[in-house]
Formats: sequence, structure tokens, C-alpha cells
Amino acid sequence: MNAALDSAPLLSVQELGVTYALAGGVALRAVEDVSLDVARGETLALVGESGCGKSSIAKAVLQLHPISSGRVLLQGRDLGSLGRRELREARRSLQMIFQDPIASLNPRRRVRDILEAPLRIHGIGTANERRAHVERVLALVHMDPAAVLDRYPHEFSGGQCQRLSIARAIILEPSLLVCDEAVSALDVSVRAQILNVLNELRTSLGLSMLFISHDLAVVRNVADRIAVMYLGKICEIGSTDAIFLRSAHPYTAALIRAVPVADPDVPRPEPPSDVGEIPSPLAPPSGCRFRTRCPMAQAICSAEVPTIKAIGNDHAVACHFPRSADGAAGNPNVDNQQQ
Amino acid sequence: MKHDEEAPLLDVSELSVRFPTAGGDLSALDDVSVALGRGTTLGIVGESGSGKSILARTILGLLPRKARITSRHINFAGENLATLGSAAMRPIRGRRIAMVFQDPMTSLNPVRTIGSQLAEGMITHLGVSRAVANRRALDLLKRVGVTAPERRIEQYPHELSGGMRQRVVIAMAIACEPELLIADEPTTALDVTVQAEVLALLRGLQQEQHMAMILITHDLGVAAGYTDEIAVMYAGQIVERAPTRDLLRTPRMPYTQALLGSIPRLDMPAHVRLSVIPGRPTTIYGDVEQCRFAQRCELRTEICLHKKPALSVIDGGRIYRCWNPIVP
Repeated sequence: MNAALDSAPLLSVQELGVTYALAGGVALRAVEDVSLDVARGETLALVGESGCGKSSIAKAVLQLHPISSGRVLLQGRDLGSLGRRELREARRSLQMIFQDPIASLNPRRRVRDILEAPLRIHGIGTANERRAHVERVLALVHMDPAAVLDRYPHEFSGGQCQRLSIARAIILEPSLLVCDEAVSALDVSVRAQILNVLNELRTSLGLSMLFISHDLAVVRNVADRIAVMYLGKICEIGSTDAIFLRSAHPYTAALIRAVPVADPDVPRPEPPSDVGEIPSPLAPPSGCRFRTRCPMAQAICSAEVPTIKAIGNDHAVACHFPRSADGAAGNPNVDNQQQ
Repeated sequence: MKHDEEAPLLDVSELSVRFPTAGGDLSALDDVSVALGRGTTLGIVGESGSGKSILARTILGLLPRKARITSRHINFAGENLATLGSAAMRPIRGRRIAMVFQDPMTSLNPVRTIGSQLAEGMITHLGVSRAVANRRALDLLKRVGVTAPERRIEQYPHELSGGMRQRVVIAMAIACEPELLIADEPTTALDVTVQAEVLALLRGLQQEQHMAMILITHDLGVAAGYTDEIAVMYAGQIVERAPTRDLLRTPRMPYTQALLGSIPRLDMPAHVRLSVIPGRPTTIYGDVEQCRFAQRCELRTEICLHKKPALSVIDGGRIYRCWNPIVP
């Protein structure tokens, strides 16, 4: 591999557009003009509410849905230009975990077969080597091989199934793991176990992740960088600290404020205001898409689409009136108790 | 003992529920006691299978017939619901005790308009005419913040967003001005900004109508902001109950503390290791003479494994069920 490719980001999404054709010739533009990079060893989180396009980006990255514009580069290679064979090879380094851990595992296969299948398909190792590798990976997700290898998915709890899904996803030593709401269906105590496992893998394997979630507290825990999405566009992107401590987009600020905190001294979240709900992605507002719910909206916001501009080190925002980085970001949810 | 004004609106005492199964009697609730007064909110917090929803369904008389229910009493406004038959329950359920469930789509009839579903409860329970019920339905939709209510009344559930549907379900629940509202994970299926709006709506309605509310949630953050008291459930038991602030600040039961420690928080730096509770919740069959949390508890001692901890009552209306409580 040459030096230029080495310094390129692991994943580069460039001006991505994803459009779904609906019944009656209607086109739903789920993702519009999204650009983002994931560096090696980095976890980038995509956050936003239902219908913001975060899962569509995941599907586009995984080449599970055709993209309508832009490019997806993995290690400098345009995934869209690959033939079937090459794409299959590229998928080795591109693995995924989904929300429902039980539905993600074949109920008729034993754990042993589920975990060995990717190795077999890609023709890796001898039977003995594969078995040893499966056992090593199970240990990474804190499962006892002797106790689980001959069992079926239904014999495990949701949290255990999610650990098996993670084991299956990392067994080919992928360079990028795409997690789509991977901890959303789990109970609080189990969610903590899975988040710890993911954080461990990030350190021990140098795993890069594209982590999609609607849960800001979870994202705060796993992400190095965060992209906040609203109606198919990125409204703010930056380091986790920049997003949480110096959020510049009014939507980011509203999202953070809306998170209920298990602390009696943090005031209960103010509802964002009485301007109703997210507009339909079929007919997004003109100009800035957030303007219909934005307390700062002015005439220019409906006339001009705000472009994304850097406002600090690893921090960019698409807003005509970004909140200033110092002071204005006062947010009781984050500031209150830095003990 | 004083009565009337001082008596709580709802007083559940020593409630146990078992389901006979092939593997023995599944103990879904064990010795559960809760009480709440008019205008107050009790949060019930716990993980899947802890018995939160079974408790709500028992109060409402909605358990399947095979359930074996025992209790000292389930008093509601002076009447023991445990002794009422299903016919006697009908004028109470839906009218004096209303409920809101997690998924608004399952609470709404997909083939009937919003307006006719809203009116139905008022016609059945309050005996008002259809015209009056329709007029009130419009007012209710306005009160719960449904936009363009005149149009919504003609619409079907699938034409509304998730947040709007849940507002309609809340409007249906409060239509007969219930004294108690049981909300079972009312915002779990909603986006976070919509969640904040729906919780604020419930709180506002509760204060206006001086209604008591049981808020069942897995999210301690939701419970923190909207309850006066929290009961933590584990494996069918209430393991700790305390005023909200006290419970969050100085938990006594190790499970409560572990649960609080396992929540990622916005004020924590990235990649912090969360405290975990080893193992997973167990299903309890028959009688067990031990603490149900013992196997997973870091403070476990010998006694926890062979003697069921009694309920300890301490100052300030707190109770817990633990042999080795955390001393603040």
C-alpha cells in the first residue's frame, strides 16, 4: 500500500445522497450532500431522531442500498466502483451489528457454526485454527467458549446475543464496524456491559466504528467524534467534547437539553417549544431544514441553505446563526456537575 | 389511623402474583406494597421482567385468568379492587383509573377515526350524547397539543406521527378525568425531543386535574424529573422505595446503586468504563429463601443466600429490602 492511501481516512463519505423511490413516483431524499470521514481507530457517531437519515448512511456505506450521488471510499477505494467479487472481498473489512440481537443470529445454527461461517466463507485457516480463533474472539466479548459453542441463539439472553453478534462481526478482523442502534434494545445493566466491550475492542484491536444511535448519553460514552443529523443533512460535526460542551447548532443544543438526567439537581428538560414535530422528509422546509422548529430563525434561514463551515478545531456547523462557542452553550445537562 | 383525607388514593399491600408453568410456579410479584396520594407521581423503575408491567396490570385487573393473585388489599379510593369482579371493575377501569401504554398504535383501533375513538369512552363511561362527546373530543385534542384538531378528528391513526398518536392516547386516557393514570413506558417509543414534550404534557395535565400518576419506566432519567417517589423493582420485588431525590442521591440497596452506576451520563468523559452488574436477572420459581439479587450482588454475605431479607423502614418514608444496605 502506498503512502498516500495510508494517510487517507479509513472511511470517507463524500457528498453522499440516498434517495428512495416511493409508490406513485414520489422520491424520498433520505440523505442529501453528506460528507464525513472516519479515521483509523476512531469512533464516529451519527445521532439524530427518527427519519434523519442515519441508518440510510449506514446502508449506503455497507453498499446495501444504491446511492444516488456522491462516493463512499474505504481505505481510498471507491466501493461503488467495485465488481461483485471485489466488493465481497471488501466486505471482509466492513462488518455490522444491528439493533435486534436475536433476529441477527440464525436460530438453527449453533454458536460454533455462526462464528466459524465467516472464516469458512473467506477460506481462512484450517479447521483447528478456525476453532482456536473463535475461542479467542469469544473471550474478547467475555463469553466462555466451553459453555456456549454448542448452544443455539434462543438459549441466550438479548445481551448475550448481542455479544455473539459482536464476536461474529469482529471475527474477520474488520477495519470498520458499523453499529446501527446496537445497544438500543438492551436493558440498562446489559447496555453497560456491551458499551464496555465496544470500548475495550476499540483499545485492544484499534477498531474503527461508525456508531449510529438516537441516545446521546450512549454516544457520549463511545464516540470520539459526532455528526448530528436532521432531515437528511449534517447540521453539526465535531469532537465529542466540542458537540457536548460547545454545541453551536440550535438543534444540537435542543437535543442535548431534551435528554432526561438521573440527577435530582439537574432541572427537568424543557420541551423544545410549541412548534410541533419534525416535518415530513418528503417535503423538507426550504433553506435551513431546522428553521420551522428553531427559536433563532430569521428571514435568511428560509431563503438560503446554510453551508457547513468550520468554527473551531475539528468542529463545523451548518447554521446562519451558530451559538458562540464561549458561554452561550450553557447547558445544565452537561455543565452542572463536572465533579 | 386516620382516614379519608389522609388515606392514600391507592394502597397496594403485600401483593403477590404467580403464574403456574410447567417448570413450577413463576413468581412474578412478591410481597409488593405501594401507596400514593392524589396529585402525586410514583415512578416504578426496573429492567425487563422485573414485574413493573405486571404490577400495573394487576391494579387494573387485567391479568390472565391463570394468574394466582394474593394480597392483603388493593385499595383504591376506599374500595378493595382485589375483591371486585370483572363487572364491578368496568366502571373503574378507563374511567377512574386510566392507562397509557408504550406503543400508541396498539392502543388505537386502526380502522376507526381518532374522533370516534375519543368519543367512545365518554359515551360509555359518562353517558353523554355523541354530539357532546364529539365537542369534548375536540377540546381534549387541543389540550394535549394536537395540531389542527378539527382535521385530526376525521383522520385514522396511521395518518399521525408517533408523537401525535401518543398525544391522542393521552387525550383518551384523561377524557373521563381519571383519579389515577397509569403510564407504562409512555415515551419509550418516541424521539427524545418528543419525549420531553409528552412528559411535560403529562405533568401539566396531572397538576391541572390533581390526578395521581404511576409512571413506569426503565429510564432513571425520566423517573428523576417527573416523580415524587421511586420504587425500584427487581425480579418481582420492590427492593427499594424512597422519595425521588433520596433514592438518586443516597441509594441504600446495592441494586439501585449498581443501576445508577451503569447509566452513561452526559457529564462523563468519553470512553469511561461503566460499572456493570455481573450476570443477568433470573426468573424466580416458587418460594426462595434468599435475596433475589444475591447472586449478582457485590456486598453479598452468607445470610443473603439463605434468608429472604425483610423490608426495612427508615426515616423519611424510605424502605428497602437488603441485609447489607449501603450506609451513606
